[in-house]
Amino acid sequence: MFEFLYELLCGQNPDPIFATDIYPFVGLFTLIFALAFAFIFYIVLGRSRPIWDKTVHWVITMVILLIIAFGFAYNNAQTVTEESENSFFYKFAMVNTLYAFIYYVIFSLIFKRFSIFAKRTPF
Amino acid sequence: MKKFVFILPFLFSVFGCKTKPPKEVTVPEKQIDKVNFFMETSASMAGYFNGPTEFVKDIPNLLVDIEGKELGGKGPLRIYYVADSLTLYTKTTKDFIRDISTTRVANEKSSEMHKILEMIASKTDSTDISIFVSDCILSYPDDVIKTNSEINKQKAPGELKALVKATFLKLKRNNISASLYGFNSAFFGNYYTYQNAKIKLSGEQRPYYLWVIGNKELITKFNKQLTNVNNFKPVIDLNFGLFDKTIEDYQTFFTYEREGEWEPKDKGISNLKASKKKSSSFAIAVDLSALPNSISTPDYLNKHLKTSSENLDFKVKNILLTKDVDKSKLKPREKEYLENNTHVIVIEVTDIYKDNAKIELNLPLVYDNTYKDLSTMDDRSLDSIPGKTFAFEHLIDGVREAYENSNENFIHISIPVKK
Amino acid sequence: MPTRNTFVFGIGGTGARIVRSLTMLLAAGAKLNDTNKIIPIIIDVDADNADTSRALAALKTYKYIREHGYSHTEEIREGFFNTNLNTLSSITPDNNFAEGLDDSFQLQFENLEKSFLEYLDPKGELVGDINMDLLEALYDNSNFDDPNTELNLKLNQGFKGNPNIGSVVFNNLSNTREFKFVLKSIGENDRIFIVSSIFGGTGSSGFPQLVKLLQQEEKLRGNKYGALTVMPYFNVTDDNKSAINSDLFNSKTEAALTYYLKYLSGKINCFYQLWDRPLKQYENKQGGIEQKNNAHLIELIGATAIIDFVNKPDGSFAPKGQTQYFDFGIKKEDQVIDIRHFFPTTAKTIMEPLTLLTYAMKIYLETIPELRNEAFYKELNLGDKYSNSAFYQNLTAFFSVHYKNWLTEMSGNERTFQPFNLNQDLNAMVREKPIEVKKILGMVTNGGISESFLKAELGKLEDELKKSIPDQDKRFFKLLNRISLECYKKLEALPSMI
Repeated sequence: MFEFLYELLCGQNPDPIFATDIYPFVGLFTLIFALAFAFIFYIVLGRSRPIWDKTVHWVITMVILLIIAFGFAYNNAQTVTEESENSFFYKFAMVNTLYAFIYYVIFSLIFKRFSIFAKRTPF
Repeated sequence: MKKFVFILPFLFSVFGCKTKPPKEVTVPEKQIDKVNFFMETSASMAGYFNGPTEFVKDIPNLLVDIEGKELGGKGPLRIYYVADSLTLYTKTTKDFIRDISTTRVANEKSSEMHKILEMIASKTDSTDISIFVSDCILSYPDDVIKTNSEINKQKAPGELKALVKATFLKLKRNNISASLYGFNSAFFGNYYTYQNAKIKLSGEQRPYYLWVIGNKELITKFNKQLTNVNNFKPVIDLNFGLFDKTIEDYQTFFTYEREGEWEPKDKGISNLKASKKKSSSFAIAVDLSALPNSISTPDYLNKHLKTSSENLDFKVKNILLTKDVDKSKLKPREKEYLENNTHVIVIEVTDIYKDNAKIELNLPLVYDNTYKDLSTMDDRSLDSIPGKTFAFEHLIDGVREAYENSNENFIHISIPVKK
Repeated sequence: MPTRNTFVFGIGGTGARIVRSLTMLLAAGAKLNDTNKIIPIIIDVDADNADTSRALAALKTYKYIREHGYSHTEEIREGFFNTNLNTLSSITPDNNFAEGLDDSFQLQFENLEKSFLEYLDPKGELVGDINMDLLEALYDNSNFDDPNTELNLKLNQGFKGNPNIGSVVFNNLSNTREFKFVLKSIGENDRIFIVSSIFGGTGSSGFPQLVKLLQQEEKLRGNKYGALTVMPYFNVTDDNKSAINSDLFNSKTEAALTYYLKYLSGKINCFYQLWDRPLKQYENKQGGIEQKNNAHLIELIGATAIIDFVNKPDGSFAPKGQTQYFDFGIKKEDQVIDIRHFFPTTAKTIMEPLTLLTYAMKIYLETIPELRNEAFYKELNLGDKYSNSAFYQNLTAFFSVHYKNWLTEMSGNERTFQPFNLNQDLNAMVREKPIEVKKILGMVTNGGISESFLKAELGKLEDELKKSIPDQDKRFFKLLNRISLECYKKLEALPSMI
């Protein structure tokens, strides 16, 4: 499923290891990171104390997530293909960042109704 | 702000993580632990040592080239004299080289080939390579020949061969394979005929042989490195027990020699587009190290590789050795393919008719029988001796039969292709 | 479902002020047992009396808040505004008499714009009559033109400390439609309580008249009667232009007490009496909108008398014909009284609810408007509601005008009652029991009732209540209740002295 998502925006890479290894791994873990971040923001923090619950905090959390998504994708592509640098890696990392953003927004919408203090964040 | 502290370990674990996603566990490669060197010292060998023979020039050079290098294992060579028993040579290799050049070492009684081979096998651990230098003449002991002077001729194809075969069957069971290299050398001295009569030779060329015996994997490695040794140019080289399973495996390159539209999928190719106007090409890497050297040359392969296909048209564009591949064209992971494989086959597909197609490459199993030319069953006259070894064909037949397998093909590669 | 109602008659200015205090105590959540409704009825001929109008306004706001803060289905036993303080017209009578009745807490007299003389003799028939001579003998009209002489008093401004006039006029109360309705509305088990002052005009004359009028009805003779008379606790400044003379307060008190002893003995089941040494001088205002006496501690205590009477179990009354007498004491006589001065029962039943209501007030007025960005604020739509919703406007009015002023007036009066520091933060709110902020190595471990505490609690409570109360306003109302309880937990206990 992740292969489809990445190939949609990145195009096909001749190296098959992207489709067999990199896309599923990065895709799954990016999804998990986004879920974890949203979960921690809304449920773990958002139900215990009104300290990290406002829009600015949500944005900061998202930015951290996006940085991780970018770095993780780039790093993984680099490690698995054993190549040091490739413009395709940047593209892949950007696309992964985009998907991380989308996942985060979707999970935010799902989790915010279960939050207490962050229930109206970001809107 | 306390919450930032919580984020940091997360970041470290992600960025610091350099491990690849799990790959299949590879068995660590076997390394050569030590090399044993057995020198036959029966009286029939004396002629190689006398005078300016190729033997006394090549053997020392070989020893020097092996010892201390990777193919020589971790320590010095273990040297033995072998005739009817094993005698460990306790001095250094340098001393040995001097000894064989200066002293008379070959003056022992002869022994039966199969017995010698058994002694050698017993000294060969699974991490060892044993090299055995001999003239490979099959013969009964002297006292037996006294009672029947024709016994060698009569029994060579039968009992003698069977004894050799039995010995090698035992070796095969222990996963031990063998290679045999043949060289020619001048011979100064007594040659003993099959009837045990002496004929004096003065510098005629006689073959001597180098057995390389050891674990199957180690032999392959050792042989590869032997070919890099200077002046190692045998006139015959035979492998036994290295090939036991038809080669079916291959790895598909994803950028090397890539043309046209296609995607690698599992082992095969999918989404292939090909037409007469615009064909597609791809390359595969194969490991042919188990094949006899004569079979695995690109020339032989080009001539004898049989192609067949279902629902598509293709041709073999090129066959080359991995060491001849231009590494600059490869991606890092593709370079790993070269380490485990010996040959690269480039395939061009010119048309594909249906969704599911297949490419088949076959190399039928054939035995190289040129060794028979080195054999003679009658060595009583002087002109029948040079370049030949008595009963050699039966010796080799025995070894071959011990390692025989039922495979029809050396290579049988089947590549599924989808449109 | 309890069915017993109690009718509380507040006569005159004092009655009105005590009813006002009662409203505050009930708003704070003081509990009444076995009671369905409390019907306060303010009787004051001085229709414009500011005390009365203040009390009426508070009652009206109370009623509105209670109606909108609780759902009609739930049984309301505790919490702010839990008592069903209601108007007369809310009683469903057996007949249709309620038609045309104002939904008001006040009983209006008719024909009070006239002078007393005109009241007695509307058509001026008595001039020259022998009865006129009698009148002139009984009532002062020494100066014909002086509007302050008794016969010339305009009645619609109270009897100005003249019970002799008040008694006559009060008698005619029984002719009003409203009073007739009252008589019909009081049920067999209902209780009756009359609050008045002994030294005033309206109150002192009205009390015995009212008792007489009520007990004239046969069906009402078996009900339980309670009464509170408040004896002098303030003076007024001298003013020659005024008909009220506080020097006369004591003589009037004596006269009234004598009358009560004679004519009321046995007729009242529980007789509550309150007095305090008058320390304060009020401005001498004769009535109208300017007779606005500041709330006094005595009035609060007076309201507790009503609560005490209402909560008495049926079996605890003395046998018929016998009167129980009650008065009230505090632990220590000080110039400034706070929570510590009250004995445990009062502390628990009165002071604790007041503390809760004060927490709620401060949080409602000061804290919540600052928390605009919090989730609960948005969930309850408080931004819009605080400005535009009638319910919230009533709450704001109640807290910032009625309750706050009531507390402020008492703290400015003498004897001063100042249980709370209204201008300090929530941790310092309860006088003599500040909540400590605990720190370890400079880091706050327990900030008491801090903004972060309130933010967290409000958020959690809103989340919890959302499941059971879908209506935003009612949920907010419950939230106020709950947050005050959380604050009280931080307080741990009321201050006390040994």
